[in-house]
Amino acid sequence: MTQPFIELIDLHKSFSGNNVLDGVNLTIEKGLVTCVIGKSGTGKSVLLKHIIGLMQADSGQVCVDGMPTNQMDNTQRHRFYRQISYMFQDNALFDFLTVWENIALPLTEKKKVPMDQIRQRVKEKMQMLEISNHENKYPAQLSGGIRKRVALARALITEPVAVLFDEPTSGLDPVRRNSVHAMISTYQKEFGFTAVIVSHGIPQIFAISQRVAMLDQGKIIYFGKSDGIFQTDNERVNAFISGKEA
Amino acid sequence: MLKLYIEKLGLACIDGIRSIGRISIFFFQGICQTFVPFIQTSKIMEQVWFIGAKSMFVIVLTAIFTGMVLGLQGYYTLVDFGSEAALGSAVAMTLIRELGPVLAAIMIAARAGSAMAAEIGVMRISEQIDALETMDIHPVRFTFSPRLAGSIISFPLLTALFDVTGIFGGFLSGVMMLGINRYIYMDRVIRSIELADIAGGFIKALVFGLIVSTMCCYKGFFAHLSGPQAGKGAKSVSLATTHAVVNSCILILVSDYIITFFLV
Repeated sequence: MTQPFIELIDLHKSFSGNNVLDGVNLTIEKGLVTCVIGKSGTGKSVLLKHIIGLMQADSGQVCVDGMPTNQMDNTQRHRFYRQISYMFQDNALFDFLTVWENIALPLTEKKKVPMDQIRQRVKEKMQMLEISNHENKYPAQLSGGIRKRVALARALITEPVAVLFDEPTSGLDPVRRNSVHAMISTYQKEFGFTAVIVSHGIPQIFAISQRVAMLDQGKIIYFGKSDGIFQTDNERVNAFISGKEA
Repeated sequence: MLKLYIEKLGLACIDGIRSIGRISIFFFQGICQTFVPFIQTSKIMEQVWFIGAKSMFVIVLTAIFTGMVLGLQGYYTLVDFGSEAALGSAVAMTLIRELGPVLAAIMIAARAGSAMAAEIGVMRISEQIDALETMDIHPVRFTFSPRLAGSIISFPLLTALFDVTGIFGGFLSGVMMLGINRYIYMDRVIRSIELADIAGGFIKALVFGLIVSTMCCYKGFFAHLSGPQAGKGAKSVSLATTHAVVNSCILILVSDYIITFFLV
């Protein structure tokens, strides 16, 4: 087993009395792609938002690199945000900024990296993701696939240790879905980041993941290697991956 | 039945107190983040352009007709007392002390304030504000601070424009149409205005600028809390925009009374 990077310990979260996370325990290992699957509305995105700090748990802990996120001081929090990036389901690109400005935003707003280095980094990422010719376009002028790449470039510009993907293939056709999966896999190998992917793209997502976690009724009911999920005797997991009601 | 009404009243009170707390924190964060280095000069200038320069046409149009109506109404009221020569004073004082700051602020709230609320509201529902947080960018600094600074600069300038244009509107109806002597009109305008009147008008403009920018940005920023059924949908943006403009206009009129009470 590789070194754990993100640990969720007995995480509880409820909305209006509805327990969405009911004691979630999960370990995300460094450098691996972990995929979180589960029915719609089971709290997969909620789980991801707890990791990045967009939501606070009712009880339990999220530890990143051994440090509980709710006990971080300002300096540690800034470091935490440099280490983890988040790619939103609908990309969350700023429609009033160009592609270049969107990608550079995490650096230009901070004014900590010199401008020539920012230009260099943006250029590199754009070349790697093959979006150099869209530099001056606005998000509304781009296709869905290119927008995903722009969002990925923005997520990678700070050179994070981990990237969280919230349903990166939702709303895409099977061809585009596969190309987004391939893109994540390729760049994960190239940049070596830890990836956590919430996805409904079954079984394709298993091909690019080393670990799979299944969330059901607020708990992780399966966690293991992606090829092992087909051998499990858990009825609910089997029913879900074969598209049947448990 | 009575218990239900009391419960609803209690919930409304708690919600109101929460809103006051949220808006206060939002306002103070906005003020503080405006002065946190580095100062966002280019973004502030963009807002001055959007709130100020782009509102000039609507301000000039509103002001000229307001001034013309004041000229007409003032003339027919004053002529009964044989005091039509005082029209310049009446138009100038009304505009500089009251109508200039209030009408200019309401027009800016309708034009630029609604746009602020809608733009930030869309940023909220499309998760752009969440994205800022994940990038460790202060969302209040990014969305509100430049608009606040832009409003503080633009509102007094637009009010001055409104006043001058309105006085010219009064000149058009009073002098050009109704035949009052132009030198008497201008002499009365100049003699009647005191520095305290102009300062009072600018204080009002400044306060209205703070109110409009805070209320509109706040409503957009918390668009997802606009109503019980709003959530993160198009409805929430429309509700936020409506609330932003209506609340701004009400607060402008209420604060106008309070400031006038202390100034007179």
